Amino acid sequence: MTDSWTPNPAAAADAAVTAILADLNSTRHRGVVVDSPPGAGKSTLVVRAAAELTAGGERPIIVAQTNNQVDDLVIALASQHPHLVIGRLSASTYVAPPAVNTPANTSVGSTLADLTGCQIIVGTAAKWATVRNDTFGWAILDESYQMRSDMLLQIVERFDRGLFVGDPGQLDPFTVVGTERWIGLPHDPTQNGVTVMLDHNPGIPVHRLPVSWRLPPSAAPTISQAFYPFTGFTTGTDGIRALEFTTAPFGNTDLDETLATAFSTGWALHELPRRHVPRTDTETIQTAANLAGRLLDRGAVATCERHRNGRPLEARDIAIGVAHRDQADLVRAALTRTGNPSAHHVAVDTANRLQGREFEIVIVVHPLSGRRDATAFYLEAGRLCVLTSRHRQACIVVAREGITDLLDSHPSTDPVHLSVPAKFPDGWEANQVVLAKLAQHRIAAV
Amino acid sequence: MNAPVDDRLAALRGSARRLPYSARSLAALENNPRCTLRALLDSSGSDKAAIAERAGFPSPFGQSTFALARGNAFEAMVKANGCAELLRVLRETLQLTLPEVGYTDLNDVGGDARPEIRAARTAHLLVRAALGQGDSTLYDHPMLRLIVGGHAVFLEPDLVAFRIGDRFHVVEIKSFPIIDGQAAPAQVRSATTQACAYVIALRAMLAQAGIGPQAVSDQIILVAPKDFTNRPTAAFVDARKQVATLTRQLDRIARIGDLVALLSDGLTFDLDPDSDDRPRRPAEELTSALDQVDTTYRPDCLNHCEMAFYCRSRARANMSLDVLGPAVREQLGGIDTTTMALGLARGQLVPADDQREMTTALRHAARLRAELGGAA
Amino acid sequence: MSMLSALAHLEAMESWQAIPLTEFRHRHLSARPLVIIPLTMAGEAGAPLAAMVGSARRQRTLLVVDQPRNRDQRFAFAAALGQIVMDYINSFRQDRRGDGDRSRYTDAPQILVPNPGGIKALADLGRMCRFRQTTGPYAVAEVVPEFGMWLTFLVDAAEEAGTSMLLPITGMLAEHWATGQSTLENQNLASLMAWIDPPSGVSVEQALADAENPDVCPPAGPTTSPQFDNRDLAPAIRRFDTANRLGDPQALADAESDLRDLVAEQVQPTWRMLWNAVALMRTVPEAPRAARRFERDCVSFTNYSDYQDSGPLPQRKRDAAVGAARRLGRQERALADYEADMAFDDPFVLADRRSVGEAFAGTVVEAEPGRVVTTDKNRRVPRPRIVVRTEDPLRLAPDTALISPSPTVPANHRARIVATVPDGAATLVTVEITSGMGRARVPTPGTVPEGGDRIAYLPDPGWRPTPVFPDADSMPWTHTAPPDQPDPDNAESDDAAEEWGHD
Repeated sequence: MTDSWTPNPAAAADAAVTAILADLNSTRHRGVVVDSPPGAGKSTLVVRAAAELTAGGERPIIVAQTNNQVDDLVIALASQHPHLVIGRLSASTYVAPPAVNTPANTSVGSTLADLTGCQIIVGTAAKWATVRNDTFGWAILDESYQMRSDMLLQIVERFDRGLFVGDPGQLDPFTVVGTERWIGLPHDPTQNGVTVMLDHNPGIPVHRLPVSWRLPPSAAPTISQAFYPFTGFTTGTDGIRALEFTTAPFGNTDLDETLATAFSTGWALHELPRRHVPRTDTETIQTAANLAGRLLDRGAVATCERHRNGRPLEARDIAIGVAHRDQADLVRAALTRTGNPSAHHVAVDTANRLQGREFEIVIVVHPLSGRRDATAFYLEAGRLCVLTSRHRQACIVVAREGITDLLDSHPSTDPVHLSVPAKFPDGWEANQVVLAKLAQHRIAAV
Repeated sequence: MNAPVDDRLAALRGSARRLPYSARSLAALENNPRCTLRALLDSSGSDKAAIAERAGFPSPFGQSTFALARGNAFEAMVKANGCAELLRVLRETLQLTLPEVGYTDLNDVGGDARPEIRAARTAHLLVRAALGQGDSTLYDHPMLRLIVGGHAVFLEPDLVAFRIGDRFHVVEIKSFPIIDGQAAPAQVRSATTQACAYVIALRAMLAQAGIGPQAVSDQIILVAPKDFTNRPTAAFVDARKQVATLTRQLDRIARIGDLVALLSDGLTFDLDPDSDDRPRRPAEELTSALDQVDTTYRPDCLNHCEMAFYCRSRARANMSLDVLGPAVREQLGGIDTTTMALGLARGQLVPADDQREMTTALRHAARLRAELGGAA
Repeated sequence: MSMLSALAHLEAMESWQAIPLTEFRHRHLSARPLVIIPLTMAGEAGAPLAAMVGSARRQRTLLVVDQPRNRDQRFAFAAALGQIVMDYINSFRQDRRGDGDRSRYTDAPQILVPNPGGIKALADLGRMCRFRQTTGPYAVAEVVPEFGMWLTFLVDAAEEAGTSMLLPITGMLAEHWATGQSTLENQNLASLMAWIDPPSGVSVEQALADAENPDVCPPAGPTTSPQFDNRDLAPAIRRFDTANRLGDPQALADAESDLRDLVAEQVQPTWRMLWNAVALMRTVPEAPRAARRFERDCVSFTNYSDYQDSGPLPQRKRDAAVGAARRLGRQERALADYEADMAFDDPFVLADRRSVGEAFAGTVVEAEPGRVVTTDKNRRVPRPRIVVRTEDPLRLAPDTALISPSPTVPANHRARIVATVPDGAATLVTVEITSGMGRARVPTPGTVPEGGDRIAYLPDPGWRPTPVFPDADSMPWTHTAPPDQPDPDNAESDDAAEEWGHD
């Protein structure tokens, strides 16, 4: 279904973008959807589409889901289009970071009246929901698969037409209250806004960005097969990604063996002994931190198309991904215990908060590690997708032995609903694909 | 499955007649694939209800005559007059175009109602239909054979195989209601478990004639009363995932040999019935035999398995955390018993290396409770 | 489930008795609740078999449907039950206080059922009744559609956390007590009561065995046990049917009376147990904010009551787009507020949150009471800081907004976390106080914690603005169905297809 390499990924990606922009210009549809797998150039597309619309006489708004996403977009727009004035619509309590404030062509304000001179206004969905009257011709909705339908309903009157960009393979929006009464309704408020919009407007064109520029050739086929089973994507790099140590180890530990495997193949499974443990298990968490610490101690150089002569890896190039906030806190504490002076610059976060971000090397604490039961939260495909698709060079998974058996004997007690299509990718199947890959690069921890 | 394993399983079962897999045992499989005792009892065809009762823990399952009567009456009404109501519902509610309808009742074959005969006739007709011959659309009471753990299971047909276009759809007729387009998810699930077994069996049968799996749709049709009326309505259930899961779980049954190999020689659950079919095996002997096999008890077993009361009493006797359910289990990681957990919490037990942080958390919680004035 | 709750369950399991999970009862308990124990017939939704109903232990009415498949009898039952329930509800539409928009009834009805199944039975009954017509070929009594709408209103309210107008007693009990059994088993009222208040002279183990034996403890419903159905109920109903067919008035009266006695025997034990449970819950003090939340119930009741007075339409079968989005927002807010209220009111719940790092308590080790900052509007405002030393495994991030239930600070005390620093096994939390100090430039005495004080903090659920959605008559393109989709609410109600005869 997917090749590991197309002859000309750049051409394929360009063709897709051309088709998307053509749909923006035509008047046949009220909306355009762009499915963007990890690292496929979503932000580049958003910036380009905004500029194109502006050039065509529009005054588009951009809706993102978090303040960080808004900041990143404002900075990218301002730097790439110095002749445009970019407005940031913010909560009154928001304090803009210097990178947002400093450029001459950005403006921060808490009402639209403050931003009348801006050609493009960017804000979070939550902030746009507080705007009552103004309307715009176009909205570009970024990370729109992570925007809940009830949020879309609060902002949709602000724009006539919408470009919905996002990654359907990553985490869905959720709620903690019971949802039975809405299941099967096309306007289910707990669904993501894109799915609801498409259910009501089946003619809307759905494009796909076909190439991941982030994931290395070692990862793209696995991620594509596991999390994008019907649509797929290919890698855009031409095999130039590489990692090398700057020092040899003295006293070769199992950590070194894991790192070596990751460096040479792009994957590693650092497998701890089988045990049932809570998700806060010290040994698992310290191991993840120690891998980062060892990596920093030994030093590494990463080569890629942006740095063909190699670039020394810094702490901020490394991320440790977990499922739950309490694990993130514990990992941060564990990093200080590694003794490496720059360890605290390693990014540590949950899958929810790692969405949209990118690193050279990612260490993952497997969501199912040590568990007795694979409940829906920990089995969810989107979670594992985010955790294993952030990296440009290598992904190292830390897990206790036993996940295979857990999956093998997993009871299927999910409720079954009428008239609702089954959701794919299936968490169980996706986990199997990833495990199968990791099994080929397994190091048994001592 | 190989003969030694079969022999061993037969020995486990003892003298009683072999009970084939049923809808209930399939449901138990789906809900607890991990449980060794359930796997052994079901694979050996043992009568779990009888065993549980003899062991002193009769199971509460039973069917109300009202539910049975209602089910039969509804099904009869839906299928009356050559399935007139069924066809109406398929056309109107599901908007299926059915130009011509031929009806074939596979209930008995010229008076011979034996499962093997009916299954053979069903296979013959359905394969012909799949190859484009024959003019029937509706096949009532199709008897299908499914190989589960090396043994033939004849799936009792309370449904219809329905051919539209070039595919078969499995139609389940149930009498719980579909209210405003929704039905109780647990009931839908158990209805579709049977239907999924059908899809698998039908595909296996057609595969033997060289016909691919796409000939059987994985969209199951559920026909049930509409709201509070007795008129039927219908809905599709997307069974792709459930079919895949059930297939995997049925495959696991083939690996029963691994579990059997771990049993001690001479272990049997035979009830040793007398000439009036009353068990003579002493209850304590039976329970010590059962006690030799691992169970994976979870409170949910009370909804599905005839052995649940026995397993629960065993868990209670061991002060196992299984009694409290997965939510508590998950908090306590590798700790298995209440005794261990409380002992660590109170500082009466010294934690092993891998219990240290659990113990810190337990002691902190115990301190908090003590602050509140509750004893720890 | 936190480590603290888990510990309570463990202790209960070890000691064979229920252990309190909370100090308070977090639900309002009416002085005069209406208890309804519904029984339904197996195999069919909307086939009520019986109901025992009353607002005091000794004031009970038993309604029995002799032939539950018979449509006329079904709606006669609904009318009878509906009259009792509406009389009860109307008794709360008397006493009103306040003017204009703020006017509301001073009290609201409270209906108690044994378990969540009871709520489902009332939901089905509400759905069955609320669309019926009172005129025409399949007319029902006046009270029936009104009853249906009120039941639906109450069932919808019950979905919102923290409300008290319709409650399952098992839920109320399990909120306050931890047992040594699972959540599933806790839905059996008799099992639950065996842990909390076993019958005298009976061990808890025996009481639990009895609770699961339908011959000793008839199930609390709405489903009856299959054994009862097959052995007792089916023959009794058959006798009724036969007498009916034969037109023999004596046999009919006997059959009816036998059926009533049979059903009464099934329901009475649950009735007694439920009122015992109510008495037990009354001994648990009510949480302060439960009263406040009940006032919101009164407002909600008043609004619906006023709507009923002005030509009401029955609630839609399925939510429309805006209604669904609104309900979701309301339910999320209600849950967040309820959880914060419980932690604020109840030291047990607060301890629970503390054990998972979502609240903390400790001692003030440093204080900077005179700290003042200049806001970006050039005002000087007090922003004192304190450092709290806590041994709780705190997991709240810097900048988290905080509130405090401690008596040493006023109720409107607000703060935020500035930083957390480990200190051996403990943590030092720097907290900045942002409000609740009075209006002056200098904090009012007693509003700022001092060194040596014990203080607790939990996250402030915050205030969320009410979401604004498009008008129902100008639904946007993203949420408007294509014209070929059927709308279940516009489908005709199929009154004729209600019966197929007695089985």
